[in-house]
Amino acid sequence: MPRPTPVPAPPPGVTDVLRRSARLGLGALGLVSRAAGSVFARVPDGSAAEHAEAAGPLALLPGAVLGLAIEAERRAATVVDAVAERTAGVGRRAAQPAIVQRALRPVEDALWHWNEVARREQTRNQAQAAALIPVIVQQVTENVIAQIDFVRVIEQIPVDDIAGAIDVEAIVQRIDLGGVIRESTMGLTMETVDAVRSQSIALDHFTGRVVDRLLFRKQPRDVEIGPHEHEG
Amino acid sequence: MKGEIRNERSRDAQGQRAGFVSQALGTAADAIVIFAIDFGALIVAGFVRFLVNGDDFNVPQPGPGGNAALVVVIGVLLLWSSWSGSGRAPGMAVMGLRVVRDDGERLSSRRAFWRAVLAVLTLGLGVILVAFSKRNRSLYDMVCGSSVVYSWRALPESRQNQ
Repeated sequence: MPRPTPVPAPPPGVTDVLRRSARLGLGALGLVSRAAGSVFARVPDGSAAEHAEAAGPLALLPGAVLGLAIEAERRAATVVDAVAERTAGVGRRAAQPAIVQRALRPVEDALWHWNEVARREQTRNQAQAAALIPVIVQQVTENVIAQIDFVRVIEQIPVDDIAGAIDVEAIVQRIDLGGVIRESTMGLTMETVDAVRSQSIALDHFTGRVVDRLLFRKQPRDVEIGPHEHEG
Repeated sequence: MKGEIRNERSRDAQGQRAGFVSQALGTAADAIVIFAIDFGALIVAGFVRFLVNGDDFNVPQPGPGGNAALVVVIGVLLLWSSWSGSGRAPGMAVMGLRVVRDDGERLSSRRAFWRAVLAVLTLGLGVILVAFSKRNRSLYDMVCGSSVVYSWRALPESRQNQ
C-alpha cells in the first residue's frame, strides 16, 4: 500500500516574509551587540575604568532600544496583517472583470519578466557565493591558527596529572603481551621461511631452464598435475 | 590477509610440481631429521639402560649394520606416516612441499609406504632425476605414481580428511 505523501506547506506571503525578516534582523542585532559587548569587555582599555563608575542606568540603554524595536515590529506586523487581509479581498474582486484583467496583463508580463531576471541573478549570486565561501573559510582558519599560541596551550595541559591518573599496570594486564610477541615472532618466521622458499623456487626454474637447454628441449616443462602422456 | 603469499611467482607456482632444488633441499632436511631422531633414540636407549642396569651412562654403539637398520626403520616410519597423512615430511614442510598422487589427491597408505622404503634405500638420491625429468618427477614419483608439489600453506580440513 503506497504511503501518503505529506501536503507541502503553502509558500509564505509577503507580510509573513517581512515579519520574519524583521524578527531575524532584530534577533541578529541583539546577538551581535551582546557578542560585541563580550569581546570589548575582554579587551583591556585604560579609559574604560574611568567611565565604569559613571555608567549607571545608561548601561541599560542598548537593551531598552532593542526591546522597543522588537515591540514596535510586533505591533507594525499586526497592522500590516490586518491591512493586507482587507486589501487582498478588495483586490481580488476588482481584478475579476475581463476588462480589468486585460488592462493588468502588461503589468503581469512585466512582473514575470523582472521575476525571471531576479531568478537568474540569484542563481549567479549563489554560484559566486559558493565559490567564495571556501576561500573565506580557509583565510579565516589560517588567521585563527596564526593567532593561537600553541606553546602556551600545551603548557596549560596538566601532563603530569594525566600521566599520574593512568593505571599503567591495569593497561599492561589487559594487553596480551605474550600473544603480541607470539604473533610478531610467527610473522617474522613465516616471512623468513617464505623468502627461502621463494629463492628455492627461483633456483628450481633456473636449473630447469639450464638442463632443458643442455638437453635441447624446446618445450617448457609440464609442471601441472593431472592426467598426462608418457614421460618425455 | 594472514598466510598470504606476497611473491607473485611463488603464488602462481602453488600446486605445481616442485623443481630439483626445492626437492633436494627438502630431502636433505628430512635426512637430517631422520639422523637426529636416530641419535635421540640411541640417547634414550642409553638412558634407559643406565636406569635399569645402573651402569655408567653412555650412548650405545650398535655398529654399522645395526645403525643402518635403525636409520632405515626410523626413516620409513617417519616418511610413511607423513606422506600418508598430511603429505608433508618435516623437511618438505619447511620447504613448503607436499607429496600427492599424480592426480593431485592424497597419497594412499600403500603408495606412501613403498615410496618411503624406496626413498630410504636409495638414500634419497632418486630426486636427482627431477633435474632431468620433463615433468619434474623423481624416481619415487615414477614408480609410485606420485608428485611433489609446492604447497606453502596448509590445506583446508575438508581436503585433508579426504
